Amino acid sequence: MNLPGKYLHKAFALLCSVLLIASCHHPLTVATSNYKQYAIDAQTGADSAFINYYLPYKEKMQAEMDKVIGQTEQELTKPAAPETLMGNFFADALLTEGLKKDPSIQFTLSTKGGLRTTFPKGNITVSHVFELMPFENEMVVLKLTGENVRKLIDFIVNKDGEPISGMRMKIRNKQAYDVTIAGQPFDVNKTYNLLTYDYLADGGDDLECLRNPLERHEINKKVRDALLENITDLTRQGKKINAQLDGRIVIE
Amino acid sequence: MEELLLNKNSRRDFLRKTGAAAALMTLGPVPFAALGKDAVVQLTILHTNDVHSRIEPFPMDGSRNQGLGGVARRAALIAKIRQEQKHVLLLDAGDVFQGTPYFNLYGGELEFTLMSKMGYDAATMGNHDFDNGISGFVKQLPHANFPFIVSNYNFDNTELQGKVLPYKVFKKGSVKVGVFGLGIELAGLVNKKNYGGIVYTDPIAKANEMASLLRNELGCEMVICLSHLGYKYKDDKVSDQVLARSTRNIDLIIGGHTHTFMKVPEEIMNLDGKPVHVNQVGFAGINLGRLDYFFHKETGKKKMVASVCPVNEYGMV
Repeated sequence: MNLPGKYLHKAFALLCSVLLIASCHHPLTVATSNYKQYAIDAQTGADSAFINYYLPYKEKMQAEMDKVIGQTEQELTKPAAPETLMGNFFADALLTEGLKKDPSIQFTLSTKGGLRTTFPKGNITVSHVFELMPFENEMVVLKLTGENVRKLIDFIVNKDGEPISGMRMKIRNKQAYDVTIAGQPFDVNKTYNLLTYDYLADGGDDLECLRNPLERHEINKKVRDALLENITDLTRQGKKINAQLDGRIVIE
Repeated sequence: MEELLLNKNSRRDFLRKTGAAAALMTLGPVPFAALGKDAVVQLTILHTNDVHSRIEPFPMDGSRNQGLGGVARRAALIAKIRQEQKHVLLLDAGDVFQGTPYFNLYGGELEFTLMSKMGYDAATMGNHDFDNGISGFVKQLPHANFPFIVSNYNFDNTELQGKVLPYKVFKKGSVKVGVFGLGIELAGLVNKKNYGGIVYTDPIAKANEMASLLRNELGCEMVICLSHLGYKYKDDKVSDQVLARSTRNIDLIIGGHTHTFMKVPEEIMNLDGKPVHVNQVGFAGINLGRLDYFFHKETGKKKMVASVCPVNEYGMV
């Protein structure tokens, strides 16, 4: 063999690496590594094939979201107040739709933070309902002890009111009184059936009193779907969304 | 074992050309510089997390992220990198689902299809990937041509049994890359009805088991954990930081869940005093992370040595 020296050297090196690969368990090591992060913004070119692919989905979605499903009599707002038009609409809609599935439900609880938008006066679209309730929360019914309902009342008092339906109360000096549930005075010795949604039932918003209910059962309906059905139902009956402030929570 | 790591033809070719190769075997190691260019393998890892159904860029509505993200741009960027790099691994750390009406209306079909078109190699599952229940996820699986990898959920007797991998070994050039996945505890985070009979097991113990399998038994030069545990917490809840320092044999943790915008990967020493990189790139496809690892064929019996020097190039377009 008459290989020039430099090739021989290279060949040898390669051979060694081949042998090492054959014999060594970890023949490769990380010698260096680099990190980059790409910000994806308007400066990044777009692949039009991707846009073309999702465009039909977008158009169908847009058409679906823009569909008018009902009307409001007045704007549904949610100012910092014990009860609000949006809160009452939301809570009453849940009670109406929940009762269709489970007639034992006595009252409902949501939280102000869970209502993500207001409704304008006039046409209400699917998109409005998605904005109001973007989450996949599902309705659940909890059977609670009177003691846990008392804690729930304290929670509502501490929050200066939350969206409720089927329950009424007056608040003086951070104490609730004249509390009624389903039209009857609250009795700490009774049990009550609350409709809420899984996020709150599973401990969201620090509602410890909902953690260990006597019973829990699933309605198998998303809150958003219940709202959509509620509005569609009103429209079918020729009615508008007509939420009212009815003094269900009064702070003196 | 060499056939796993070196193309058979090139080896035969080499032996034929040199002829006297066998005679050279006794001469001892050669300096590193003598190794040819082919002795370096560059592995480019691209990653996203918590994309949350963000198909289009955020709308121009004055919000903080307006105009950012978008799959068409990400696809173009990835295609460009693929033109430049031979060995690319494209990974996602979960929460593909939920966040725009695209998910609510189409159930994740579009997300999986577009990820498939971009050539994702694997993803792990996030808690929001259960938002339409196990069956909602299973229904969309035919739209994904890449595997989902979760090691610490037991899917026995659920619809996902046999449909999620505990790990996967990828061959990139001569480098074997082992990928496993860790999911977050679902109880309290996901409606029980939506995750049904899935049993969560301790991610630390499972990570050690998986990483040891990939490193020691399957001979991976690089072990990556796709994690949806979250970057860090105020309390002692298990996180990527805790994971990194409580395990062995992991090189890189690509994280998600906490939507953390990290400017550079964090380096954390593991139980063996070896560095682990932890990275996460925010959410919604606003950023694409890129890690380039250069593997050198060794010239001695020395084992894995990782001297890692992150180069900070944040915000590159």
